[in-house]
Amino acid sequence: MVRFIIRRLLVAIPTLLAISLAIFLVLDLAPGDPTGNLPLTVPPEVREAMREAMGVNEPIMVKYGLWLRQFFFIEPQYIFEDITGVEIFDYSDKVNNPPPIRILSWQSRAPVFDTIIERLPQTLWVLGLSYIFGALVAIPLGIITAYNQYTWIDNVGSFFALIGYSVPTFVLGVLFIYVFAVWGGWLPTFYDPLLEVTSWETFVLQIKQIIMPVTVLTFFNAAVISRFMRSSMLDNLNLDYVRTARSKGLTEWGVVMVHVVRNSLIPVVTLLALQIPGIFGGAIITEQIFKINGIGQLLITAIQNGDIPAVQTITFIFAILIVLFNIVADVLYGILDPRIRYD
Amino acid sequence: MKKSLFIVLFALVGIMLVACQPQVVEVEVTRVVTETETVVEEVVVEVEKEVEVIKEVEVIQEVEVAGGARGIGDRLTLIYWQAPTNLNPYQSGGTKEIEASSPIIEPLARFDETGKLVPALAAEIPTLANGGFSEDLTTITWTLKEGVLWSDGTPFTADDVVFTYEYCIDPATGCGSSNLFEAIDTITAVDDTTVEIIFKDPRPYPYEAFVAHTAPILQRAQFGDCVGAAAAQCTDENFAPIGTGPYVVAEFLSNDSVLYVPNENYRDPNKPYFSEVFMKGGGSAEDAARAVLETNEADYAWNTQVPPEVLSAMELAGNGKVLNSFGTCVERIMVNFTDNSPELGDDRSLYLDGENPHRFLQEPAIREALSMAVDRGTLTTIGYGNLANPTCNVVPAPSAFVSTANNSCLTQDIEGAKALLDEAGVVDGDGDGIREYNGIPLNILYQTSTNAVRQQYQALIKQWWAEIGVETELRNIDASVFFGGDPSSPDTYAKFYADVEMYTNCASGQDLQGYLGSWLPGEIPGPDNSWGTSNVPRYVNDEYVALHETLTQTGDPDERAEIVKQLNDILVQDGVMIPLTHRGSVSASGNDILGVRINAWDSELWNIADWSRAEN
Repeated sequence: MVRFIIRRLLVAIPTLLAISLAIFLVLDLAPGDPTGNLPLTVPPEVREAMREAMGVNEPIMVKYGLWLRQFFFIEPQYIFEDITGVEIFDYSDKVNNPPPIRILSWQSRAPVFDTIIERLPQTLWVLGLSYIFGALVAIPLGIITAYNQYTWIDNVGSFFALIGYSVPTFVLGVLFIYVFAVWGGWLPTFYDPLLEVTSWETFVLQIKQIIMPVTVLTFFNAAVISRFMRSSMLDNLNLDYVRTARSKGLTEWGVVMVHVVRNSLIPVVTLLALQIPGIFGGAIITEQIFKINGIGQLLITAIQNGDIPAVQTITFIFAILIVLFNIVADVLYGILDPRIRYD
Repeated sequence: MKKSLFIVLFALVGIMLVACQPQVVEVEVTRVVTETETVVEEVVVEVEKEVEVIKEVEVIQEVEVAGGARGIGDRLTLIYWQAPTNLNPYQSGGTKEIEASSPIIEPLARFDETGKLVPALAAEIPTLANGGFSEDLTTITWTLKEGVLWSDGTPFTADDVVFTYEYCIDPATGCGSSNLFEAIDTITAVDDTTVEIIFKDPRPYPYEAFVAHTAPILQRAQFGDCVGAAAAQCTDENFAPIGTGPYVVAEFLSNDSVLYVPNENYRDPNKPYFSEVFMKGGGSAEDAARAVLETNEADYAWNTQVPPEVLSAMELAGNGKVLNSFGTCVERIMVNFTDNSPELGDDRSLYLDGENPHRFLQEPAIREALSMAVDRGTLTTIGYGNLANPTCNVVPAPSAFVSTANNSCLTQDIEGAKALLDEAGVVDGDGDGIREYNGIPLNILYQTSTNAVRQQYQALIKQWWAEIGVETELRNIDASVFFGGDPSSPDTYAKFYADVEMYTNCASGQDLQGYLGSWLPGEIPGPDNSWGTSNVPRYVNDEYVALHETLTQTGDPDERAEIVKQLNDILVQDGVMIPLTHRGSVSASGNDILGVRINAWDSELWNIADWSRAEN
């Protein structure tokens, strides 16, 4: 197993390098200009000077090389400094001996990593909660609907799963805002990221501003996971070992919960692991609708403003997470299912 | 091995989806940016009502003055749906950053909502009359207010003004307002409260550097190490500039929200009123308008440019009102004076010293007929309701500079346009419904940026032009490409690979000399300047050049106004551009917020020190 993990990690390195180059080329070939959104009153010469200061005009290979150096050597050192408090760089004379430049966003001229770290909590809260709630709803729902296949319970459950799966979050989100915020006036439409939970009142406020996005995403996640759970249950319910268990005189609860559910969870757990990178990636549309300053919203504004360093960095972090969690899913498979061995 | 191949493929597809998807949204956002290059004049009824409210506010505040009123209010919530990414406007140049920084850092002088210059950090406005501006138009001397402190408690001095110039003029800083400082030859701090600026050439309009929201003063002590290439290392400074304004930054989340608290060292001890100001971004213009007008979550929403019927429906909820103010922004059609035929290859739309005239738009009668056939009133009502006005001028404000010579164009005249073309011999010779000029049919390629209102304009104008025998092909281009500066793209507005194109442009502040200088022959875009200049129609007229030269040497305000009108008339009457709509900026304010004076010449938050909330 260890050999397998090491081998997979080694393969991941060239894969990720190829991905980073591909992202870079795609972004560079795409049209767009970081100063294109400025008012027309800013004259073209000034825009050119600004692009020059940002480093937009460097040849692509220079830009790519610089980015690689910043991502793999400079940023880790700054992160190390942040965590340990040990100063690697010399900050005494910023003018004549400046510390190395981090990956700077073209729109904010601030380090991209700082912005990502600033936004991660919001994304993790909203998506993480919706993911946990989604799983908590979906797994029992999948079990019940599968056990009662083709009864009215199954039909109702499947109906909701179908709605959750097929109604896009932007429709459901806007509907929620209209009903609960505009018409009812009970919930806010704007998310306040500076709200600190210090008392019962602020806790209620926090619940109020987070409940709509979490519900919308929970609905979607639950729909997807419950369908998987249901079909996985159905595969198992008719197998011989279930009949054996029943004939041994086990209770129905014991048969289903101990034997069938455990085996049915194997593909579902893998699926859950594969979806985790999505939590970090943020929900682009949902965050936009509920004005949550998460990673997804950062990505979309960066794309709109031609902010290539930010887009490049965020998409590359996604790529790393996707590759890593694929390995995690494979390993989990091996642990959960004794039939699968990698060595 | 197959699995890892699959991973690569999966990641790539994902990334490409992410990279391609958001183009749609891009359109909307950039559209609004062009809409926000605002500035005001001609105050509409609503704003007049506002002024009445303001008088009340002043009374209220005087009462408060007695009790010491700083920070007695609650939280003021502003929605800036396009959120600031940075609080140092020089590092951005974008309207949203300039707006968000204006409660913190201040210029020497500002424009009020009528477009009049009022002192901010300066004790008075230097003019020819009071001797602050020299007779030879080359030296301006600013006297600063005494005793002003930075928010950190240190004194504000003339040296900080000099520093701001040094900061912005260094090319490596990448300063977004460097054009405002370029005319300065030397700048000296004569003493702590006197700054003397000597210009390279006579400058009849000297109020660019350190005037209005685009050129506020930075503190030398804070930004001293951030000049030139070092500017990139100054995130902490850029995110929390020390200023002299009524509020200071308490927290800032890039591209999302700003929390301001009162500046304890603000020069008026009884201001500002609110104990905190929260600026939140995200969502769309419609969400922002709704938060103020319908759900009452916020007190003020900036740039709520949404379809007029949507806005008036929201206003019916009774929580707030829509405010609107006019600067110099005009939606206009630019006419190409050079031949843009694709078969010319690299010479497409190049001026080539006049060797490359347009196939038929060189005929003045055709340009005039195109303008006569347009119904500006209908266009404006459909696109903007009562939040914009039809116009026949390139310079629609300030009122002293507005020509009345072209107002006949406000009435559509299809028959007149037909007669004009017949008279000029531009007739339909082959009976296909399209007129010909010297055998060339009048087929027009009409391009603009992708934007719902602009596409409505295009469709209507196409119909009207068809009525006078001109065939039009419509094209729209994503705004970030159309307004972008990529010299290799064939689709930018400056390349102008079309016969006519439509967009909005405005003067920067009130400097009409610079704006009207956009259409001088030296400004014609081409490969030698990477298509980076502003004479987009490729217009050349010696009379215009001579008149503009006179403007640069005239100091008398009345004479200047007269020359501006004449220059405007040349541009319009010679058909260089077809002005359509005078666009205003639109914002929404809650009913209980007092003191708001929406301003298109400066930041909308220019007088936030005076804002307060009505007692219930």
